[in-house]
Amino acid sequence: MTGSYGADETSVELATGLREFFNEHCGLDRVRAAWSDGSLDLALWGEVAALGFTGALASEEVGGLGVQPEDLVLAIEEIGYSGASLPLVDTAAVVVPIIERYGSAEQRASFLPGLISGERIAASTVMFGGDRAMFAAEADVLLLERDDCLHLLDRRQFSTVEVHSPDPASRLARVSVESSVLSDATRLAAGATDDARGRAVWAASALLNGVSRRMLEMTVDHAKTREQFGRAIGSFQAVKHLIADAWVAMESSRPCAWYAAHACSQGLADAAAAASVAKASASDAARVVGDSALQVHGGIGFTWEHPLHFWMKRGKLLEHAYGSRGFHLRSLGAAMRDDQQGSDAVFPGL
Amino acid sequence: MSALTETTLDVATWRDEVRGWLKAHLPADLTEPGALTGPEALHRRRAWERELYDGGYAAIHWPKEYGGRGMGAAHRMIFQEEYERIGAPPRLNIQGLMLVGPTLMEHGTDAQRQRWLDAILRCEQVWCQGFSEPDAGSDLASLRTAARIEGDRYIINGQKIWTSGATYADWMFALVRTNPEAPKHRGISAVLIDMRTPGISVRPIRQINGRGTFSEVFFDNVEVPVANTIGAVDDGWNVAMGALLLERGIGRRSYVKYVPLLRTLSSLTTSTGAGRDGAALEELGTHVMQVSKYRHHVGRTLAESSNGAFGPEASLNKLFWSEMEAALYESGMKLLNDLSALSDDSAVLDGYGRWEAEYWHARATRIFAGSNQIQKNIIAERVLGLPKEKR
Ligand SMILES: Cc1cc2nc3c(=O)[nH]c(=O)nc-3n(C[C@H](O)[C@H](O)[C@H](O)COP(=O)(O)OP(=O)(O)OC[C@H]3O[C@@H](n4cnc5c(N)ncnc54)[C@H](O)[C@@H]3O)c2cc1C
Repeated sequence: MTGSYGADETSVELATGLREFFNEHCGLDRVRAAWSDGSLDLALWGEVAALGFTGALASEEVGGLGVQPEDLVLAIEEIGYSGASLPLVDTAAVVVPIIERYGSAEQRASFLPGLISGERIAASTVMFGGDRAMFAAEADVLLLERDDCLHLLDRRQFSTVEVHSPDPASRLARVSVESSVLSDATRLAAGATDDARGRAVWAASALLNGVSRRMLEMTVDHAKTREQFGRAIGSFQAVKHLIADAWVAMESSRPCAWYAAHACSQGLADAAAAASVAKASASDAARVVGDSALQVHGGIGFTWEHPLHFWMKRGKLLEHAYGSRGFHLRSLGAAMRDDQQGSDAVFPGL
Repeated sequence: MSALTETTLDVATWRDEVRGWLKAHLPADLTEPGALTGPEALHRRRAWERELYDGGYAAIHWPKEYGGRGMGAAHRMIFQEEYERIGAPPRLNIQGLMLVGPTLMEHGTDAQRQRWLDAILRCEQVWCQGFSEPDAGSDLASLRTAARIEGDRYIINGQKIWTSGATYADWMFALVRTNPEAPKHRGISAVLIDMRTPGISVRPIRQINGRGTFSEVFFDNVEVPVANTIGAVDDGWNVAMGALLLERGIGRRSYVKYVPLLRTLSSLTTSTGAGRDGAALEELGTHVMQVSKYRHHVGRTLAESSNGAFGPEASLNKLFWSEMEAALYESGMKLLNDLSALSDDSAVLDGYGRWEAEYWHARATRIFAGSNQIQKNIIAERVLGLPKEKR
């Protein structure tokens, strides 16, 4: 898509395909089921993997689809939108492409096929915050960031302790690793860490924007149908403006993630700044949209029964993970402070 | 921003061409900070507009048949970015180029196009927009300036207000009431008025920042040919709606304009000793984020609508940039205050006064071109389909 901001064919095709799949296979019942029993829906995982999603960014030689990050970014939004509780994004956007680029021949051979086919599940601590990772307890493979290096571990090499997650269906665990386990054999080549951080951040941003998009859509629908004082609540201006603010926050955030994916895959000079812009704005949007959504839903939105909270809680988890708004804004502030005229780190080409 | 409507090479070549031309032709004294509305400055700005015309850059997006280059929205945005990058002055005839010209192309007759388009392009006629009245602001359709038809002339009586550039404009694009009996949206006409017609008087209004760039305009039995109506008589509301979308859309500014402001904020942050302070960096970073978001919003809008036809989504554009700009200047006011407490360096203090004038102007952006509340109404009703409110 080379910087065309989501308007080209491949990305629209991938996103539409995934959206249709989720519409059919991941309706509210299935979203709800993941919440009530809290276990990973392995059947759904297998079906999505069978579509080729987990290997989307891997080259065709190793059995992937060979698409570019900017072609995948809209599809990632669809995952956030769908409410599916699966560790798809880290696997597809970070772990698989990072192994292909920075793994040794041995690592590639032993890890890639299972991850691409969906037989094995990956978790990643990259940018998540501390030694925590989503679905680490369920994972067969762990991408671990330690002392600015990345290590690739299999299930026997790490242990997990479940920790609290604001989103009960995105299970979190803290991982621990015996220091003797980490060696040259587990370490990925130089350059992997920065690359993986950028990927984790733009992918989480796109996912979060999808979450916001769903919350907003539910809110608009509710405002059109719920009546008080003899008319739809969406006709009240105070309600309209809450929703309009939410829409602006979300729609102005989405293209930032699209651009960040592009900047990352092209290795542009502003890739790191672009990722920070994407995540800070996605976090902003999720907060504004979530607050408006709950307010406009009124009491019904405050129930366990109503599905709004699935997305609200996923939003809350993602808002603070992968670098909070404050973290990314401080990075941007520092980048601007250190920017010399003619440097391309923040606004290239000026 | 790359590869939008044409090939990457095309776009890069175009950027180089524009950059080179501006560098060779822009007079240095026009990039200096300071007021740009005195008689002398106006003279220089007119000359600069003429230079742009001679170089073929007056309105690159106008169709070739009207003297433009027929370029798409992406090329236009590149031109705008380069124009802002080098710090060229605001376009003097923005109402003519961005409002009247396109409106004439869409609704005018051949004779009208011949009469006005070329003069706009050459900046022989500078235009102002006479829409608002004392009792018709957000509720523009309640405007009352009356145009009574007598033979082939209108006799116009009434008043416009907040008319930017009225003191030096040659022509006004006005909305007037031609049918007081019809429902309020159906009795309005769009009329082009020569500002030198007897009976017109212009009274400048001093603005909050001390500048005098808008005026009251009074009409006392002003005779205007009915032939100056754009579109049908009484159909001016439709004509004006297209014009207002253009005013809100992406064509008029790029993110590049804000990058020097970010640099100023950055160096002020450092000068006040807050360069390592987390909260100060977060505030600076917020503005970097906003300007970047604006960049990507524009890029996305272009990608999705390469022919430049923008709908009610234009409201997002107006809402976003005006809030971004207001917040940016807000931070600067605080930093300049802090710095002036630490320093009596005259360079700092000069900058303070200029920043303050712009700070106040950046507050007007939330009001004009349809207030930001009005933009939210439009987004809610026309983009998201929420039920209309009784108005
Ligand atoms: C610097 C500057 C330059 C200008 N230049 C021009 C020009 O060249 N030509 C021209 O014609 N006009 C110009 N204007 C006028 C501008 O378009 C009007 O000021 C604007 O439309 C608002 O109208 P008003 O001032 O009458 O405010 P009002 O309409 O009285 O609005 C006052 C407040 O009420 C709110 N409000 C009104 N109606 C609603 C509603 N339905 N829902 C929610 N809130 C509402 C508004 O948002 C605003 O906050 C200019 C204004 C400024 C400040």
